[in-house]
Amino acid sequence: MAIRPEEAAAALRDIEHAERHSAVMYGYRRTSPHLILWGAIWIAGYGVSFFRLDAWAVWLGLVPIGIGASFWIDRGQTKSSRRGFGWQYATTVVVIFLFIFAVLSILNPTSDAQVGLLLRFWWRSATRFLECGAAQCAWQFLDSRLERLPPAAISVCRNTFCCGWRELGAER
Amino acid sequence: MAALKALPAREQIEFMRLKATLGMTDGNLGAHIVTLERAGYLEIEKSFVGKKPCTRVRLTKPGRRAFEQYVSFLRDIVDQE
Repeated sequence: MAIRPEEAAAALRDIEHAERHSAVMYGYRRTSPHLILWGAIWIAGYGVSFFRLDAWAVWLGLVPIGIGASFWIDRGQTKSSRRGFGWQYATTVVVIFLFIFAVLSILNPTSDAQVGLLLRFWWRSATRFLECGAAQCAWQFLDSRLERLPPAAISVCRNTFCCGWRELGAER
Repeated sequence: MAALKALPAREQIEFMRLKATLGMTDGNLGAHIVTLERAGYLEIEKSFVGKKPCTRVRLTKPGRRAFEQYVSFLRDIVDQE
């Protein structure tokens, strides 16, 4: 049975749509629990830091909890697949944590604008690194919101980032 | 098969998730899966989650190759035009 070019083109469009949709759904399924987890950790950490400017040490407890919980989530997800991330994931998380620590140690933000730029820099680095559809969709949403970030939110970020890390630097 | 090819190699997907992704009915998708399994293009794994049956589907290497050949065939037809 000969296939007409129009039918072949329509079939290719359907295939492309199905592949793209499946890839996006897979990305959402694997990354969304981790994004929710780290969102909750950030809410807890920044919430404490907002009321106590010297509470930067809370991150030293929250980050290991987040890493452990991410491992637990990944173990649950690997039950439905033949491969998990295991030590690759752990190494990636540690590298990301060290990267953030190094950036803040060297490029310690001292103004609201710098804090905003740093947040955007981290998010762009993360999305480029992950290169997953979910992260890029979330970035497009967040990018449109970061430009309208109110001064109060910037001030919160400044207090939590700048004061905490400046004190850390002073102690060192 | 396009939906399965988008997943990483050796990655399985549950029948219900595949059905939701493709928007197909149980019978329709089941018939397709059985046919593709008979051809050796899919691997079906049935298990239980508690007392609920769970069916997972995975694209095999021959299936991945056959799908890529099919896509290449379609592209050739479109390019010839």
